[in-house]
Amino acid sequence: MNDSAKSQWIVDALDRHEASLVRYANWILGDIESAREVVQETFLRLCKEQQSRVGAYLAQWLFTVCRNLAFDTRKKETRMTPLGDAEIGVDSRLEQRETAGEIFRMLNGLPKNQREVVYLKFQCDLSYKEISEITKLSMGNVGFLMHTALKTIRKQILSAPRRTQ
Amino acid sequence: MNFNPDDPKWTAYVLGEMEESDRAALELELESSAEAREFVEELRFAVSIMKEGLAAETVLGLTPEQQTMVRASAGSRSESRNPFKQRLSMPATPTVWAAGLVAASLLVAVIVAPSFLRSRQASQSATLKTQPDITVTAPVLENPQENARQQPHPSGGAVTSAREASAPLQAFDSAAKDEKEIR
Repeated sequence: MNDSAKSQWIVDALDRHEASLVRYANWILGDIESAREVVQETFLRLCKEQQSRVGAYLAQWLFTVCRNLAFDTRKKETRMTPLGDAEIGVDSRLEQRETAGEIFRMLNGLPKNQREVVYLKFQCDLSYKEISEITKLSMGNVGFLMHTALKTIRKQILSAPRRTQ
Repeated sequence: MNFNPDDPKWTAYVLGEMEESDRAALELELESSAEAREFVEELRFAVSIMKEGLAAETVLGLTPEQQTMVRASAGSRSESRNPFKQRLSMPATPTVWAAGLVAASLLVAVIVAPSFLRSRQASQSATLKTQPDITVTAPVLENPQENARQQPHPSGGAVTSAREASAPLQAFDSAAKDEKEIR
């Protein structure tokens, strides 16, 4: 693999996954600056990898590394400033937006593992297989969590149709 | 067929996560169940709401400085980050081998020369120390009987070191050899 091809591969990966990764890291950390640092580190690590090793699993690799780095960062930050509830959550500023507010409230009402698979599916546009590899859950488990989450959301939407439609 | 809304296959179907063969079987089931069709429509609606809601989230990305750093890192030679690997992959041409051999020889010379000189100096001083013994044994060549009388230790004192011990023994051996030749 020559250098220019590898360089192009990384630039393409940056263009394609940067925004999703920053959103995902921000979703885990609740802090955009830390999220950006985590994503930058993720891409710097990608630069050290061989394309032949990662190529076929690029999205899974990026999201897995980003997820691990984000959880490590959160663990360190939690140790420094103990939080009452350090669970994954959406940015509270986003909750204030009227259009998305209901959806984020619904998402935040879901258990943590359901929230993560829903987020990876709808925000990051990943497949069950990719989510399974990132979260280390079985594909069957991912399907079950997704279905349970969607059933809950469906129920909430149907119970308050005017607010969401 | 009983409709089971707890089966994850409905969501998998809506999200396009189903195998082709399973999908065909499920579509047959949908045709026969109004309840299932309604449920699938509601799931589709929930999915569209979720996508719409999450799409409203502000688009975030790296700062321009961070992007520049990643792009610069992508442009640099990844292999050169590991100098050890780089050295291993260097072709071993005859010139490289010769240069290596010369360098190794010089290194050995630098390390060994001082200790060699020290040991040589020491042996010279030992030779000087045992010089009287040699002068004692030298006449023996002319007079073997006198030599035999002066044994076992030509210096007449106790042997205190290996060097001291070996020098008289060598002298003894050569004297005995010479004695045989004379006879």
